[in-house]
Amino acid sequence: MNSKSKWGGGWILIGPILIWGLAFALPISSVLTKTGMVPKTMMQLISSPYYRGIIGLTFKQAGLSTLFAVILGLPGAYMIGRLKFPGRRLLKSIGTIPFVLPSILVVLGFILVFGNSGLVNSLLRLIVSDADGWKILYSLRAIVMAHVFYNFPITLRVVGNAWSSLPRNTYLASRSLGASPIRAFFSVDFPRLAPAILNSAVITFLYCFLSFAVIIVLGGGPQLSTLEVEIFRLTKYQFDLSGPAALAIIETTFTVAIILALGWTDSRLRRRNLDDSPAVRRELERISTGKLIAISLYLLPIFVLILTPLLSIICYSFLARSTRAGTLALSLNHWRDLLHVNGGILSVSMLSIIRTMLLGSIVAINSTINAALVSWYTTRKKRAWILDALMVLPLGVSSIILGLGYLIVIERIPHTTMIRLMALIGAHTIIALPFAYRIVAGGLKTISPRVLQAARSSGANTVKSFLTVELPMAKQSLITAAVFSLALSAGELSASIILAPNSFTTIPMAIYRMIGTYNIFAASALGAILICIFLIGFLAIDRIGDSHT
Amino acid sequence: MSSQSLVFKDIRYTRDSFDLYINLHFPKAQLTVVLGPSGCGKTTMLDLASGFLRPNSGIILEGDRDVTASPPDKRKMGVVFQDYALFPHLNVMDNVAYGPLMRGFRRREARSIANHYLDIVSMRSVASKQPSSLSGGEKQRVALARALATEPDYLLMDEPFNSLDAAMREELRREFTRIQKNTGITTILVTHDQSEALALADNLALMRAGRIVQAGKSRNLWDNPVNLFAATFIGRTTRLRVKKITRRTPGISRVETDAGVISLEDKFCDVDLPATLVVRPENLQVSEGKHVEAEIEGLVEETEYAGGYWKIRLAVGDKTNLIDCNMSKTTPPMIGEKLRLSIKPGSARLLSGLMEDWLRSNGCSQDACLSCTSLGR
Repeated sequence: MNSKSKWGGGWILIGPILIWGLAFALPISSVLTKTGMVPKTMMQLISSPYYRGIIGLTFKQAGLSTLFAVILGLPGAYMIGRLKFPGRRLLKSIGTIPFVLPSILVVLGFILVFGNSGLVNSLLRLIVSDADGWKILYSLRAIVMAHVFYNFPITLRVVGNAWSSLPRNTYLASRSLGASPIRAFFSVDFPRLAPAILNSAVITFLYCFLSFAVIIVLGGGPQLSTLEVEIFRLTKYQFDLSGPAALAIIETTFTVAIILALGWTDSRLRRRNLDDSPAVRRELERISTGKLIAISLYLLPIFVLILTPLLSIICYSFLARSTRAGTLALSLNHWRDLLHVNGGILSVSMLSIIRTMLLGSIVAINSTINAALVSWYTTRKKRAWILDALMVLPLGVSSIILGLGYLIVIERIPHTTMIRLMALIGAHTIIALPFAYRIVAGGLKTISPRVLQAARSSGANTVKSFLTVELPMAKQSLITAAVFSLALSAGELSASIILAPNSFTTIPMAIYRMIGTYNIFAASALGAILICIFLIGFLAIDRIGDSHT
Repeated sequence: MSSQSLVFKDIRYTRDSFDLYINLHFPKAQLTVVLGPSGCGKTTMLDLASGFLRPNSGIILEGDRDVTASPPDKRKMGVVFQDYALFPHLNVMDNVAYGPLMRGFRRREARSIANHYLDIVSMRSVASKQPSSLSGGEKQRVALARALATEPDYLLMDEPFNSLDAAMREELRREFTRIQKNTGITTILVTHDQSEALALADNLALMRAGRIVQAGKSRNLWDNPVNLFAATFIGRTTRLRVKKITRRTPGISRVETDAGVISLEDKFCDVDLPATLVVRPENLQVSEGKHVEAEIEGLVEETEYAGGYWKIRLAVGDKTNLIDCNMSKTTPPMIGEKLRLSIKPGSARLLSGLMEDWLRSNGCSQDACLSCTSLGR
């Protein structure tokens, strides 16, 4: 190895590093410096009973949500991993839906199904006409329920995959050595599943810990607030940003500690399970009719639970009430309003769709190009772990904090629309970058270096071999990364709410405001559009058939 | 260990298009090797023996005891897997002590049992290591110790030496034979490697497409194959298409092949055409001098030095009749030279069918017929 191959191609990192520095490092470090590194504000915050309550509630709701999400996900993980039954593939793909949905749609769907005049209560009133209805909105229960719905697919997928890749023979060995099925499971299989269960639990916990839309809407106000929501409120409604900055540091300290603890435990657990022998995988077990019935007792509610909110959003977009307490009737009003052009001026909803797509496209191009450049470099170099880590680092910081950082950066300059927009693009790019990077790097890694050597020895130079071999082979993952980035941007709410200029509304922001003004039906029409965008996006990814996601 | 025989009586197991039907007796305290191409159902047979699979019909007897419905943990089978299947989260000692623990021993007793068996396989020194830090051969020894530590009545081994390099394989085989003889444990070993089968087996069972083709002492399978599959899957053979069989003197028949006329005892000629004459390479000798009966003739097409002797391939008639023979001379014959080979009396066999028909009817796919490499390409 000469010095050329050690540093060769390093110049292509200039762009990505510049963007990473400006769009991520700068805002985050400005959050850190805002508190002046003096822990006085932080100590004040921690010692106040109000904030201690908020920290407590943040942990409590995340803990409860995680517990129930894992409990709900495990039976499905077992079915995916071990059993062969009609609907197994469907469970796998339907199970991904809640996880990829924008949180604002989850919130909207939840309100439509469980709201005071939602589907459940309407059915209840059909049966018992003078029923009071089930009041669940604006409570801890609502938050936990929405989080469980939103996050149980993590356990379903992660543990399900681990379960299906368990080796056949260690289990059989333990059975032949005298262990009963239950004992064999706990002494041999469980240690292998443990890292997956731990991982999905911690990821779920982090998602709930940093959850925003679910809590701010379904929590219903300051009495049910978490760190993330509190940072948002202080940022949005307080002139001095040092308060939210201090809270942001507290929150980030917790998340970083959790991530580090996970990394440590996970590597310990995995080291214990290190097994380099070529293991035979276990075959899926065929099931009897009795078991099939037992399975459907789990599957049917799951399918109903996942599909009802989505279908409700679509159905409600075609309904309207004549008066506030009037009866429901079929109506195309909201769609007409959406598509209505009044004297050459588009409706707010239509504008939000156009703006969301524009913003999303810019973000997709931005993050995919940056991800591709960095991946190109890291797949070639041996010691690129630091770049790997830098690319994934933004995952550890919540969008609200990122938005706060941008606000602090642009505090001193006049808030022009252009600067706000740039900040929004920057924030969304940084939010999408870790995912785009993982997808592209994963795709590039599967290209054998032998193929490139073959291209080079056939006479292609670096540029030509990149254009004629690497790029076509990486096309799938590049498209996947772009679509994924677009989808992330189109569903993003918290950073947009903080950073978007007043005149600029994205679809999630519009839905959020419509929910706030109880304009549920218009929100549903826009929600249906967002569902379509996601559906088309993920169908596209599915068609391309890239497995790295 | 109180080893007994194991009997598969009318065992049938069907799954999708695969159908397995076995009647076989595994004699007490002996090592029975089940040999067959990959996909023939060897592992399924082991899974049935150990109770991981339940047969659709038939019974499995351990001595006189019917164990067909017993779960694996209630049978006394030690299993050694091809991929070792050591528990990665347990160290070597705990891997071997696992079985005794599950069978109700206290931890201390289980460990002393484990120590004993680690001694037997000379692995005591690595007791505290994790499996991931062991070499392939070491893992295999530990896997054997783990299987033996429950003091099973039977030992089942699934291609146990397959993933080892040649030298390690030889050494472990020898050591394993010693341990098997010392413990006197009834052992079933499945493999697709014929040299391994011949080296280890007290008894040999040849399996193909879910059926036992032939079973018995290795020597008998070698000398008296029941059909073309048995003749070609074990060892190399020369196959000559038979054109005509005529009876001449009482007790002797005249067999006409592409490569010449061979006289054979009548008792070996009880087949109808189409038929194939098979001869093992070691039963062919280069004959010099006068032409005699029971000779075949052809042109040298290929010579290959095999260390100590030459492998010669003769072209006879059309190309399909290539003849394999081993020649222990210092210099090989010239390519294109005419060579006459005599067949050792009583060593040739007539088997019904033709190789090419047989291959065609099997689609010559890896799993249905013997692997193409064992056909001499």
